Amino acid sequence: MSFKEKSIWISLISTVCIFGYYFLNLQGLGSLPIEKANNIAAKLIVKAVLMTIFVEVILHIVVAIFSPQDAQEAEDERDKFYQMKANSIGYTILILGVIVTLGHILLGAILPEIAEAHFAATFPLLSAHILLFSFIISEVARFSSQVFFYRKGA
Amino acid sequence: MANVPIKNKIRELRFFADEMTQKELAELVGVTRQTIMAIEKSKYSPTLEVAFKIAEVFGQSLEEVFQYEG
Repeated sequence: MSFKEKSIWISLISTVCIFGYYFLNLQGLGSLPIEKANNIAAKLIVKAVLMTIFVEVILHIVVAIFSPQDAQEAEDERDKFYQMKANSIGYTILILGVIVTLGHILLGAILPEIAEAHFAATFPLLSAHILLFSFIISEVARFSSQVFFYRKGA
Repeated sequence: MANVPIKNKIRELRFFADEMTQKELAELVGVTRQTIMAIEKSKYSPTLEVAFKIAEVFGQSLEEVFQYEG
């Protein structure tokens, strides 16, 4: 397995574990007052992002120590090709998330009573979380498809 | 996922080139060993540039190394 593929595995597993834990923790916030829930959710986001950076850096260093020659290998055309195909898949999912977020914001502006009653009052930082969720899903799709291409060919 | 429709004789040509390793060929062509392996197994279609470089390493024409079986 090339360093590039190991690197993608690291990103995939760390993203799934850390943000899976993050979204599981969010579920408990629905019962709290919205201001308190917003505060806790914002801290959780920062914690998850910092943890992702820390885990990725540490694991990449560990892999590079065990296979220093592979780590120095530059990306070739196959790596770039798989990356482009995976980016296209991730981008599609991200755009869907952006459209849903826009819809939610527009709903809030046009029919505030419905938006308030059904969404904003029950979920902390809702617009931010729709965007964050789309981003995480798009990243997971991007990493998974890259792994799939490396394993099965394309 | 189905294999790509481009078959090749790289494995055979490596054997007749003093059993050249995949790593040696990869270095001569400028790709990773894993990419040579994927091309050999018809899991990946190389760009024309890499295909020409591979043919050049073995002193063969492109058609002698790669065959389209679509």
